[in-house]
Amino acid sequence: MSAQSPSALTKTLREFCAGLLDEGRVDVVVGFGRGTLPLRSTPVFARNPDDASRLIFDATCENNLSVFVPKLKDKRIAVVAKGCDSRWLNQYILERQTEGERLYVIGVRCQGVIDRKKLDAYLGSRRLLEGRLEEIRGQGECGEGLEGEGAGGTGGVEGAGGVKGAEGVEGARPGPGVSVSDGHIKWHLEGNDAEGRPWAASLDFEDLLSDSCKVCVKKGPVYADVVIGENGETVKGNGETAKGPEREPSFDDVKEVEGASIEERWKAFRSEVSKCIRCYACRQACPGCYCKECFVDRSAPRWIGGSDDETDTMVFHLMRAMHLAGRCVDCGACVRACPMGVDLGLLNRKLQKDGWVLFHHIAGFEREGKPLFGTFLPDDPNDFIL
Amino acid sequence: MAALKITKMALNSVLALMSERWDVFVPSPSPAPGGPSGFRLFEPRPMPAPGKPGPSERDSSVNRQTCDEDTLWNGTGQGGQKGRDRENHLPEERLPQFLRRVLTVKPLKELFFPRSEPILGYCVDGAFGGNGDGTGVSVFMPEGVLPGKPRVVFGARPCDAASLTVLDRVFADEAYPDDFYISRRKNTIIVGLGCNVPAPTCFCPATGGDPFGTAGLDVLAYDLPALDGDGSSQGHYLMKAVTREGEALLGFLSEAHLGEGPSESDERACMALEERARKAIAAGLPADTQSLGRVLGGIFNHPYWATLHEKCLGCAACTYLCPTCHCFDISEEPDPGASRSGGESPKGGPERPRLTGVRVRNWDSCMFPIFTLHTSGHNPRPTGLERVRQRVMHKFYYFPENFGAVACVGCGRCVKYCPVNLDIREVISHIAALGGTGVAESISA
Repeated sequence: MSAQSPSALTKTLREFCAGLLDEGRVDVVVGFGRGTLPLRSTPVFARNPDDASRLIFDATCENNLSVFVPKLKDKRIAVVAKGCDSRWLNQYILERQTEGERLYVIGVRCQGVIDRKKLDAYLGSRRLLEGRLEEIRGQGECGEGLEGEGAGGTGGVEGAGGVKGAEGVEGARPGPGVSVSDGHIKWHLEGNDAEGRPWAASLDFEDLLSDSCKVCVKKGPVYADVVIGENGETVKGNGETAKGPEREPSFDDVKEVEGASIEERWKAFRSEVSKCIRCYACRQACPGCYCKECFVDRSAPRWIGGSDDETDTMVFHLMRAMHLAGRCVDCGACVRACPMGVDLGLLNRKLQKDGWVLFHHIAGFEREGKPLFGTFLPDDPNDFIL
Repeated sequence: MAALKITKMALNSVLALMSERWDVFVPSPSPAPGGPSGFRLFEPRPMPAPGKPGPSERDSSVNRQTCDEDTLWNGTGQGGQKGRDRENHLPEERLPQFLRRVLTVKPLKELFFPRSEPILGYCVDGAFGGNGDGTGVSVFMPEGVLPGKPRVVFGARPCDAASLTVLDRVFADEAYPDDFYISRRKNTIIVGLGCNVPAPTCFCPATGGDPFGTAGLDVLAYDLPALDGDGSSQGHYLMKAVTREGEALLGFLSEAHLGEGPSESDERACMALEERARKAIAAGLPADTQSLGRVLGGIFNHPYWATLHEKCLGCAACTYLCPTCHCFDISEEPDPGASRSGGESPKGGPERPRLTGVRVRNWDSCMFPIFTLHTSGHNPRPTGLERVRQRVMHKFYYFPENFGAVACVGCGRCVKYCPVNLDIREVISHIAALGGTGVAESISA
């Protein structure tokens, strides 16, 4: 990725953040920088104008950066915020975990972020040495401002997985979504296979997209002090920049599961959590999990066992999900953080659906008022009470 | 038998034959898109009776071993579902393909030091002896704790095998031998698979390892690709014995006429693979970790730690997936057999009353605040700074001081699975650079 020149958005982001720090308007900018592996980013804490040159923003920026806000001691914190990051910042203010005056929200419009596990599944035994996003404008052409090699990537799509020979089936596997559409963003991948032979592939943007991004209702920030657009333009935010969801949330994935029998759902849930090793990456990556002491860590008395007993693991996941009911913004950070591929998303989405269907509530759009579960109205539906 | 060459097509037969004498473990199915999760018991595929068609390709119970385990590309692209079906038509030859993935998600240590392991069962209501009058406490060994049948692991990478020599220093220590660990080590033969093409996250040479290292292995296998023009073959495994146990294993296979001795050209092919792998991995290595302790000894209070830990989320992905991390916690749990079946012991054992418990040893992580929380409420490692520093210090300073080896084998799992890309290779190089600039000396002075 290093060969790629920074995008217009990234350039503006760097300049703007350097300015903020230089003028002393904030003490730290929490953003993303280029990671050490292809298609990986890493959180960056910029505290002087020079640090700002490390900032980037693109579809590899998978973490929800708001998670760092409660931990930081800095007085004024700027956060580079995707829609979901900004929604948790709002939620923090709503839940009185920080003050709005302390935050400076640098909103960025997000196209969705990568799910590395999908990439791994695609790679199989191939090694990835290089990866980048390319904008494809028409057949075999490379978008403006992008470094070369792009055309070759798209032209050779049919041969994307086409390393023949002992690689056998993986080599013969058809490249997914190989059609080239106008103005489309593609993942360009390069590396070598298990025998050291080079390969290259070009995948549709959606192929590696995180599931939560596919159902995202708000790609842009909510309550931003400034918004940096895709072409590097800055728009001053006024708190009214982009209120409300951009589209009606859809819960087709949840409905599919709801159609199954209770036994089938239980079985599926057990099978899902059976992968869990209780490393708590989901909890730690979640901005909503800011409890000073998590119930699983309570030791006097203990709330749940510490072994890999399936009952305890299920209790952990169920309680965490319930604790996030009406709060989860569906950023998917937990799913992406999990090394074991436990799909927590569905459980969280079921609770979001209940929040939406029963109360017309969707988290992260308000900075004032009360959290969903902090309110009570006599005519609230109570079907869910056992 | 010092060396044996088998065709990849014969791998399943070889594993099936070994299964008659040993419990055979192979890199296991992926829990999700993303690669194999750990090591699992190999279940031989039933052979079709002569004259009858083989088991249905869609019969998942039969094909589990070779198909479902390799979670395949299932994105939303047009190749999605179709690709999966295609994979489900694959018979035995799938496993060699699968073994070419560099590493399992969960490390080999799990077979010797499981995530959770009952170490003691007890009963507090007089059953099983007690005081002999229906009261008192009795203690017993939970069923199935110590392995019975000897085991073979096929396809462990050299870094994972090397991690066992690190764990041996802790658990097979003369002063404090750990019976559970030692019994598993003693009854397990490990067949390693050298790394023809290391992953971008691999850095074993910086920890004293090698893509074809034999530390901890009984046999080292070389994945010899099919020769040019030999499209029908998937190539061979050339297995070289490292220990006497390894020799015996190869002898056993040789007696069953499952392979042949290597030729001179095979030996040359092995050397070529080794050379190529070493060359590939040499690019982008961090500083050598074996002299890092010298620097670390002087930078306990260096400001570096304050910046380093900042992005760490404090999860245990790095430590749990680390093949050398060995910290554990002991907890008292209800006997799952008793609680679930209303008093019956799990597998045909004696009737067990409800008041039973199990003492369980679980993986623990220095990344958790509770790891060092004292009963008084004081925590000597109250923030991420102290905890991240501890992890680095333990691996590259304390462990070498105490046991004479770095507690890192360069497998790169923590690099790959860290949710925020906190890359230990960068940390290693930063620390080495601190030493180079003399900062360490000035801080410690």
